[in-house]
Amino acid sequence: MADVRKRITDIGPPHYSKFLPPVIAANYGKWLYHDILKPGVMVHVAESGDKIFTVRCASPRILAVESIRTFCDIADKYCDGHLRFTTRNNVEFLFTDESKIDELVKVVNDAGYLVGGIGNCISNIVHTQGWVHCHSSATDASGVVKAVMDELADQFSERKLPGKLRIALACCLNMCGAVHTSDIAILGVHTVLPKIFHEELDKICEIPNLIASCPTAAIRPAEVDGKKSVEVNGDVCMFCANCYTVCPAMPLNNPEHDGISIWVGGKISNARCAPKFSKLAIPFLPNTPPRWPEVVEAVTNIVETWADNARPYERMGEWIDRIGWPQFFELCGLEFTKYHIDDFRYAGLSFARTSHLRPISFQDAAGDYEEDDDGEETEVAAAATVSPEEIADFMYKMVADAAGVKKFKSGDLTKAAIAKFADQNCDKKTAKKGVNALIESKRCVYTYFGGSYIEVPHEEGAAKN
Amino acid sequence: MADGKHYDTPLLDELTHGPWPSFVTEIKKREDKSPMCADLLGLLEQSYQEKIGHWKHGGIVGVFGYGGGVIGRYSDLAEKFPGCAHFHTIRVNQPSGFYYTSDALRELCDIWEAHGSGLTNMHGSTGDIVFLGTTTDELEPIFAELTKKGWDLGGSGSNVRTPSCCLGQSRCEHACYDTMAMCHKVTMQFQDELHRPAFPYKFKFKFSGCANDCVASIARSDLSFIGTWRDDMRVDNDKVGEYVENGLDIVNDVLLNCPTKCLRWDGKTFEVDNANCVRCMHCINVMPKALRQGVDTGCTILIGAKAPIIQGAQIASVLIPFIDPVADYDDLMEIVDNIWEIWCEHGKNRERIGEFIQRINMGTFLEAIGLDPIPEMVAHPRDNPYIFFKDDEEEDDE
Repeated sequence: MADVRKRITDIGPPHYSKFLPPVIAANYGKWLYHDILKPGVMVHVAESGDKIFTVRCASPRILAVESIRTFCDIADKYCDGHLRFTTRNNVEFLFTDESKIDELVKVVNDAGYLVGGIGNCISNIVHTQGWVHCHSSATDASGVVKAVMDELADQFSERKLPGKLRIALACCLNMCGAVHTSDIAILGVHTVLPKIFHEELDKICEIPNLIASCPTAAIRPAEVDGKKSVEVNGDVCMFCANCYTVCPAMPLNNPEHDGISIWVGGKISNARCAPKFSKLAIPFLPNTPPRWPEVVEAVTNIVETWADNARPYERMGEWIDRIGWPQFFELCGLEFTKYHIDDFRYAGLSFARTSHLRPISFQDAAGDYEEDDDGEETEVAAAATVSPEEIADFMYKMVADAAGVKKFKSGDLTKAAIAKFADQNCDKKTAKKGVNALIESKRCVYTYFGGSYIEVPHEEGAAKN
Repeated sequence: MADGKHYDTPLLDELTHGPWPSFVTEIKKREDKSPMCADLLGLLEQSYQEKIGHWKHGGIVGVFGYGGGVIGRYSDLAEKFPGCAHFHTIRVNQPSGFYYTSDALRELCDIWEAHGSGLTNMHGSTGDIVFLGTTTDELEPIFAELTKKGWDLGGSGSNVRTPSCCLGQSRCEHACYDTMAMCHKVTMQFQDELHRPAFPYKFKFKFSGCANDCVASIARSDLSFIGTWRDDMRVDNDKVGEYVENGLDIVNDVLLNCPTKCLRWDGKTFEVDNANCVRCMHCINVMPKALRQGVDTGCTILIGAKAPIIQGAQIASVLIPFIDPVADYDDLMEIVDNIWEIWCEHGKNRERIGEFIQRINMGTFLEAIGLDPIPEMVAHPRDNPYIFFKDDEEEDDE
């Protein structure tokens, strides 16, 4: 071990003033305005009249030291050795000589790094580590990003979109990065229960910690083959992998069932409207390396639909707010499923609690009525098989036999009837007619005692016994 | 190390084509120089074939005395790809604003090439310079060389994570306070909390100079500092006229996009109802030559943003509407201390401050940290009549 006395610790990062270009040090806090000169190139003008030019290019986030040295060589030649990075993994070359712009852009492009990403365009996709380096990833990160951006490269190096478009990718729900507030979020998802390695679980995991880690309390202690372990209630597991994060003996990674979900309309900036979360557009797309064609197609489709329909400066989420979600799904040709309706903590907050609807929504409703008519026909056919009176007789026996022991609700009786007469086409509506017949025959009555029940008539107050 | 064996990578090779820069090309640049990178390519190709990752959970590795800054990573294919059997990540605390000189970057590259894979992220999501892939034996030598050259590790685990900021006043006319100075000052003040995890879970500071929030502080920091101003917006009417003459659709693109409809333009004068302007930045973004924020500037502080794990994602909510973070720095740090005190005392394992506030409720939290409840903190007052009235109200009044 190193000699503790000689160790240097807690010095923090170097002070940024060591790295600032002189024109920035001289005009710090005194910048007047900026102008985007062309894609990926901008100028900032100071109160003093000084100017600094910036050429921005995309990096693939994973950078070999060779590439960083290439950037350094370019910075030495054109920028007196000054460069910086952006929060979205772009590289920025900073210089004061306007005449160098075109040559610098060419040199950077020739080195293999596209110039662009400023203003109304797609900036670099921020993303996580994926299969290159992460234990919990449900998909790769860099490969999906590469495939998507190969398709959308023109939208980085040109400025022709209505507004800014920020795409982010996280390879699992841990979301190392702010993908949950992106115009388009590409999110890796697990869809099957964790495996449990009972043999080693107790040796490498603290079971109370593990149980506490589950947001839905789906994990319970269990003894398996004489070993202390846990079991998972599959009905309430939502595949968040939080258990795996605290316990390596419960992996969720699954080659066939892991995949990618697509989320839209999130926004970080407070410009115009408040920041927004991204919302679910597509619940699941398969993992199809090396180029994930389904994901590329889905993202491209959403980008193009937005670009064709949005007004100037309208971000994805603002556009959707204007046209409404039904129209978004219609225009993008996306299916709306039960998975699109939230069912976790704050689920109710996302329900539509107003009659504000656009004509597109009324057309769909007309279609639903027709389906209901079809349902009536089925019901008529079923009624011919088992009569309401037969059902009522069955129900009466059930109630009378259990009187004083157990009380039944209307729903208990219909469920029992549906099970009993399953082979005679007894559906819910038919069973309900049986309940009506039972009550109309006066053999049973509705009673209420903190809940409505169907009982054999009795003296008032008898239900208390 | 290994014998420098190379692997066929037909699937990965597909990703070396196309206009976007390729991460495969980046790794291949080191294939001949680093057996670690050659084996990484072999392992990654296998992941592409099998559609599953081959990394195990981190172990407890680090540099002596620190509890963060190194993330242990081991492959589950150690025998087949021994070069990347250990593949630990090192987080190096970035300088504010991500500015570098080529000399400084070469210094980092030299250290990393000598002691690790030579692969980096510039930068990780939180903001650190990320060195991807080294062995346990190399950790102390790397740390010694880094600190000798003036660099230190960033955060990981249940500690203050490496603070980060937008480039602020260094190059941006919109910045309402010196984000880079604040970020550096806070980073230096909390070196102990950053390197030695003592919290229920991670705690992130992020500093943005204006409401455009280029560092995404409102979405992902426990304490978010967003620049704003108290006085009137500065307007150059002639310059507004120039934008209009040059084709700007000022009605649709500026006036109608104002969230509080507080802008008027009669062809000569651009009028701002400053009392109702919410400092959203849209009109300034569209006409940066004509409009500027005021001169009485500071920041709004918001609390509690996080990604979904565990109880669901949250966007940060208002804690302090306006503060001058430089002039009132000490008051601010007292509030931070108070927040940490109650959170460390009562927070559960892996409970972020946003979730903690949800659990104990905002009113209790505000009392504990000594802030008064104000209407700026809510979108609207409660609409739920189940109020937990407390007997001790009268005593508090005395």
